[in-house]
Amino acid sequence: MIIGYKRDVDGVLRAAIALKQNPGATMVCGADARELKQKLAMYHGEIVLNVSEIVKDVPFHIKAELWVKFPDCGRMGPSVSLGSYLTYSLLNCKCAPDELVRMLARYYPKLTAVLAHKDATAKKYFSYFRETMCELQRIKAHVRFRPSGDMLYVEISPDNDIKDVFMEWAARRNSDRRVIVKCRKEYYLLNARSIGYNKDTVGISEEEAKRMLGSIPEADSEIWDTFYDSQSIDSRRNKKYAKSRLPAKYSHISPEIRKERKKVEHGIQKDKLDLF
Amino acid sequence: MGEKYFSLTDRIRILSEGTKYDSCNQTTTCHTFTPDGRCIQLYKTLMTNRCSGECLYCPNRCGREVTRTSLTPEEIARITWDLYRRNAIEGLFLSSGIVGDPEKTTQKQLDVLRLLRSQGFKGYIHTRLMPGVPRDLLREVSLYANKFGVNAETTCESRYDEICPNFSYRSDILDRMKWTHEFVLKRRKEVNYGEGIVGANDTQFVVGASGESDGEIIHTIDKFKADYGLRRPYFMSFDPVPDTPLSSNGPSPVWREVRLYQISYLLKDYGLKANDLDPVLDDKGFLSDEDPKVLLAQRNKDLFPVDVNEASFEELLMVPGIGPTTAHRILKGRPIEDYVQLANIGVVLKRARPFIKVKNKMQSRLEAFAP
Repeated sequence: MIIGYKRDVDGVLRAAIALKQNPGATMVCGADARELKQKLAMYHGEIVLNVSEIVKDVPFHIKAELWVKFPDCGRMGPSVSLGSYLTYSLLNCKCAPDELVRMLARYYPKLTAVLAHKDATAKKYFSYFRETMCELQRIKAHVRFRPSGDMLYVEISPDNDIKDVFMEWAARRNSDRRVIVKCRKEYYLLNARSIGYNKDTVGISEEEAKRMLGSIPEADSEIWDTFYDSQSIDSRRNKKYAKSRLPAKYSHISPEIRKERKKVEHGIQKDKLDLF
Repeated sequence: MGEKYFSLTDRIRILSEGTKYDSCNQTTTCHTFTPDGRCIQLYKTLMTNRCSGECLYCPNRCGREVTRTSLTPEEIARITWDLYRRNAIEGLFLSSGIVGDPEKTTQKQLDVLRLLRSQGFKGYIHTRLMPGVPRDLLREVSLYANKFGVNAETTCESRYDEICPNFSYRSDILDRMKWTHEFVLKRRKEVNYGEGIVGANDTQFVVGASGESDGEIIHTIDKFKADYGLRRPYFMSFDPVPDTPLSSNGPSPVWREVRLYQISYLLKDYGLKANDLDPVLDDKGFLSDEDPKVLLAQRNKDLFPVDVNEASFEELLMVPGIGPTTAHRILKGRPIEDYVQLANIGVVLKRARPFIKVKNKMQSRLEAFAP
């Protein structure tokens, strides 16, 4: 039997229940309904089912516990719920949904026991969850929007598939501005309803993005640089500590952070060319 | 100094430098860090460094030769929005010199707050109010600011009169702290959870300006917490400024500021009272440059070692290396089998080991070998 499911929390949970009922089934995962349909269409002469035909709904006891936060016993770990564990694990680039489904099927019906990470797979997916969540937090803190007229422009290049979560946050933070997000080679327009689109977030072409922005805005901000430089106390300079707070490996997130990392390493140059 | 034209960038630099010693971290997200390792989350600025006050330690005191300038409420709102939209800050920290009288200055501060909130600014706003701020204006500030309060600067009336001759400690500071507390409580009753801004009371001490001991500061914080619902005290080490009456005094060591912050967390998060901390002070009432929690544990040897599987939450909190979060984790994770499990929970074993026992195993002490 071939069972198809979507790569989201609901799809994975249903797939785990379906696998528990049909242990010999082959699981097929699709990123969305269209991709799933295409993949399932490739199987001929076998019983091919969508998971929603086998499991009509996720049982109530699982839904009720899905977003309950359990205290994490790991060092520096945040409280974690099964819902966030699955959401962020699925967004990780190394995640294999079939492996996750098989693990959940083993734990069913006591799915929250996954959070105790007693076995290697559960531990592995917990590290994926943390990795993805930390990357999202880092991007949220260090990315800088560049104003261009009444629009904002931002570039991100996350390792994991967190662009949707990031864009949701960016649209909420700047709800009164249209925001163009460049994620690798793709461009997205946030808060797009204000100019006649039927969705809040739409994908746009590079040409359209450039037409809207005029030209890609500069990363430099004189106001910010002045304020940043004014806040440092030279007599209390603590290079080692400051470097640990702003690690070099994350300074690729934005040109502004790269510049601040340089100031942490080399100090703030007081003598400017203008003075001569 | 004569009137001189300053560009916006010059004024931002001059006025932000006036607030760089203020620690006003919101402790949520840190957007970036300065070369001294402190995080930046808020746009910190003075509205103006013109001041009619004659505080003895202050670089902006009346009569001192210094470049004077100011920012208009519209300019502050514009800069705040610009930095907020860039995602460089989470909010605004607004302080000021006293222009004319406290009422006029607070009115100007309120103009900034009103303007930002009316434009839909949802970020965090922390406001330092002037001594002698009128009650009605204080009430209005409580509608807009997430944290606000007047600076106590020191511990008692006589010391305050010495360093801030223009103001009265009792009426300009303590009464205002009392009103702040009243308005915070009133606002808590008015606003449902998550539906509006409920501020908190804060204050700042200039450590070492008037020769007060750490013991006095600790007891004052404890009193303010009980009487005025003080959420968090801030500390600024005294640094002598040239051309001020205190320029010949020595600077207060920076570690003193750090130790006082540690003490303030012991009072705030660990449920300790000022009297409990007396053992960590020397004969003159000063702290030493050591972790006060470790010192406290060393001075109360008879309370240790505690059995991690039987100790209460309060007993666990007294162990160095165990904070409120890890104490909760220990209670939930019992029975604790070994040190490895404790390390995984987040206990700092290097500090905690001499003060705990796990399954009747404990670190050997030199005293055990004594005849």
